[in-house]
Amino acid sequence: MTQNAQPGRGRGKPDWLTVQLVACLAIAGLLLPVGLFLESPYSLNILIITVIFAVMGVGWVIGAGLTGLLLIGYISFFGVGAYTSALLFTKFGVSPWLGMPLAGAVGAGVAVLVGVITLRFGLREDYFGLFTVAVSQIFLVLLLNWDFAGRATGIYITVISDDFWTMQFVDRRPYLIIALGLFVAATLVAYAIMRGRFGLLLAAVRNNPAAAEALGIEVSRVRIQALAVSGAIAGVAGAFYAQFTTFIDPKQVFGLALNFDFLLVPVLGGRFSLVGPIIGAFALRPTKDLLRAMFGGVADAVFLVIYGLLLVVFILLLPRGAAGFLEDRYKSLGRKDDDGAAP
Amino acid sequence: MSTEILLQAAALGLMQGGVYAIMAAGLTVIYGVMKVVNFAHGEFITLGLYLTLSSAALGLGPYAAAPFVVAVVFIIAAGFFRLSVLPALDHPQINQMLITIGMSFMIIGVVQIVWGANNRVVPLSWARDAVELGPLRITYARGLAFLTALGVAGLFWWGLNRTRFGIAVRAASQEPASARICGIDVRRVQMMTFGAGASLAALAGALLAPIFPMNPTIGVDLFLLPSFVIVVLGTMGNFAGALIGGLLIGTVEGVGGLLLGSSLRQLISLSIFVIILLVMPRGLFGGRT
Repeated sequence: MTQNAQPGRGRGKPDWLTVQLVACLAIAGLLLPVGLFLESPYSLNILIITVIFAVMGVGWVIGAGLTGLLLIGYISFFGVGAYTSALLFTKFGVSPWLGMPLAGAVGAGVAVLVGVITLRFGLREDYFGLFTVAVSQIFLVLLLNWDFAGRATGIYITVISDDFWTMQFVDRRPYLIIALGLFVAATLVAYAIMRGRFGLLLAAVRNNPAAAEALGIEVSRVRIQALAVSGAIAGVAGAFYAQFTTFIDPKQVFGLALNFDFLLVPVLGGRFSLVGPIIGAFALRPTKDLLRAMFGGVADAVFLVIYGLLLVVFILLLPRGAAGFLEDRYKSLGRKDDDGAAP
Repeated sequence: MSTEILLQAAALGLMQGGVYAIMAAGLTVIYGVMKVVNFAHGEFITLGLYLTLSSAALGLGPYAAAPFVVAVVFIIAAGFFRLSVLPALDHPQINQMLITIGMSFMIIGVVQIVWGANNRVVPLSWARDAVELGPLRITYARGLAFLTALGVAGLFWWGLNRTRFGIAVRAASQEPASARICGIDVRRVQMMTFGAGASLAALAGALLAPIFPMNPTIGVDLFLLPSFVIVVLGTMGNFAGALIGGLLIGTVEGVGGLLLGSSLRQLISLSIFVIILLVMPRGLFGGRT
């Protein structure tokens, strides 16, 4: 398996990681004007949700792709973020601008807790994965029974007029700017991790935890740190999501359905790549909405069949995701002994 | 609260546990043989429910229909497995999981297309008739479901331990490489196991059909998590463990639901799940780490 963390300099062409960073920034730069000129609020909403999915994807790449942890119940971090900010705003009037970093802190806190507990008890692979699912379901049940947070009804945020300080905009365009800002920030964080020493540590931990441990790397510590970053990103994304959709309930922000969508984005895009999440998000989200629109209404079921089929086919065809495929292409570019795929 | 009500709840829970036991047993054999956590397992229960519904519409009683339902789901599941999971067995686990999730989307979609999204129930003239055992009152439908589940589980247990194929299954699960050397067609064993595991879920569905109103997402909504909980409780991959775990969780849910109310009921099995994962991740029958 190829790593992004290798500083393969001095070969004439820029290394893959740099290419990915440039691609991400270019996509973000392109989406801004495109989004601002979009006429239909419906398309704009899809675009913003897609960008949020990409942000979530970047978070998962850091917490799961790079660490090699089977983080299935990733949505917990997102959900607690969404509830933190929404509760602070609706109950205590705390601005979402402040709510977002606090939600990130709470998301990171939950992630660290999950990491400490699981690694302390030596839960690995499937067991770790099932534990994270259990955690998300526990949050779901708890919030369904918590009066203060509105139980099953959830939380509504009403938007009456534009107000920058409370992040409320009748015209949805400012949300796109914020979402893209979050995406760029998350991408830069992921880039810094992949490029730096921490990325090398993660690669070592992922590829051979036992050997890494023998080399004196504190495997658990490295994994928990990565989980914390991942949880922070998901928490912030959740806070933004609550403010943007103006409505959250437990079944939605801790549900398995949204959770699986969050996992599909980075897996289809590329599990340990920088550019994967945005590719995955764009492959997945608008496709989903398009299929829904095509087979809408009664035939929501037809959509499910096609969507499921596409997922299976693409995961089988591109086990390392779209970015894995692109990476192979890029690395074989201009090479004499072009064997098509660099292993 | 009288002891009688408590006993009644425990008995109902135990009956439910019998059905839980075979559905979890199906999941655990699949995990045991190929280490795949099957997120589409709930959907095979859904298929069992709906196929029983259609058989009933054709005039076949739910119990007479069960063998047919099981056979159909076996073929569907084995086919799915051959085409989607088998080629991904050497891919990362997350990919295999997401493939089974894709599979579950497809089944939910098909069920919705064929049978519609509304709640349905299999009509049974004697659905409310019950047998009285001292203070307990158990409907025939639940009692039959329980006994059939136990019978089939016993049959499977015998098959796993006493038949040549059962030995091949256990060999493929414990030492796939050596099993291959010994001439066992491991891929075929895996395919058959996936089919068999799914048909156990379908049988659970068939047995529940007269009891539960069904809808297309009932599998993932009601049965997926309990299956995971039971499988982990009874040690992942351990057939007998899943059976005992099923009976345990069924009873605990029955009593707990009575004591805590239905909204917190889910929390009981989730707490058991978390505690088992943390304190003894290998489950009740996995020995010490």
